[in-house]
Amino acid sequence: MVEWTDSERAIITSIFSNLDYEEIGRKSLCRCLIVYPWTQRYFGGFGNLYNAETILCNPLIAAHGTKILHGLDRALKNMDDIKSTYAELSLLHSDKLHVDPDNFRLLADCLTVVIAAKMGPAFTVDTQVAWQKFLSVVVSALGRQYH
Amino acid sequence: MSLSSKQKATVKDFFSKMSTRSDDIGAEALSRLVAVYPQTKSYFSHWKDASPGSAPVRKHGITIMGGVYDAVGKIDDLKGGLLSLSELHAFMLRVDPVNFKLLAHCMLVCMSMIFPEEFTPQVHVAVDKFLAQLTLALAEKYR
Repeated sequence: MVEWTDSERAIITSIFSNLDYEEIGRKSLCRCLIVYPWTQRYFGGFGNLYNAETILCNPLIAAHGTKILHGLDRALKNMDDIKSTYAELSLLHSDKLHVDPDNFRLLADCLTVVIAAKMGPAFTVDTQVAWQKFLSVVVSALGRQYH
Repeated sequence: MSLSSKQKATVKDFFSKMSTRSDDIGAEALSRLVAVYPQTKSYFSHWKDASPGSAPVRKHGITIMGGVYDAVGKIDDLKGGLLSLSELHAFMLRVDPVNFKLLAHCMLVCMSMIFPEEFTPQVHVAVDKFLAQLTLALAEKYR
């Protein structure tokens, strides 16, 4: 069981309450596909991913970025048991989507960079610590059911 | 995953833009490394205070960033240019190379925080590749 301090809960809650899901979701997924181009392997049906510019304008990618970010809501609402909350989603990524779980870490890193850009100096050291702890629990839960 | 000439130019350009804040970025990046990845403090047990934001951490972050800037100038031959630094890390410091990646991530986060407009995805990939190449050059003499 992951232990969360009151401060960590407050920080994570605050980040989500000020989040523009569409903007941050789109930017994070696009950044992941650009910075780690091998992740594009999972997006064959998503239209034109020819270069950075087309990725950034792609509406299917934008929509999917939003969807992913809303998926994080479930972890936020169930911070004390993220592992079970994501069991089914983990199986989906393993058995249906066949996503290498290392990609979860890559996307998490891009999400951190995008949030840092958005928050600027408000993304303090303590904020980064809490945020990366949250994401590492999510990433671990999503990879948990792989077999 | 070597850098194209366009990416080398992107890296040089961004680092030049960053130069006024390079000390801050270096100091912040090392502070964040020891905070987010506390196991990295194991390399600094000889300091009185290795906590994020402490004077030795900030000072050392600035030193490291200076090394990174030096490497930008040697971007066309990182292995050759960083030979003595690699020997230092391999034989004296013996820092596990996995930590270079962790520090690189913290540097990227700081760059993004301080230069949100300039740190576009295209700049991000070029700088990430550069830091990865730097890491390889630094680990060259390890074994």
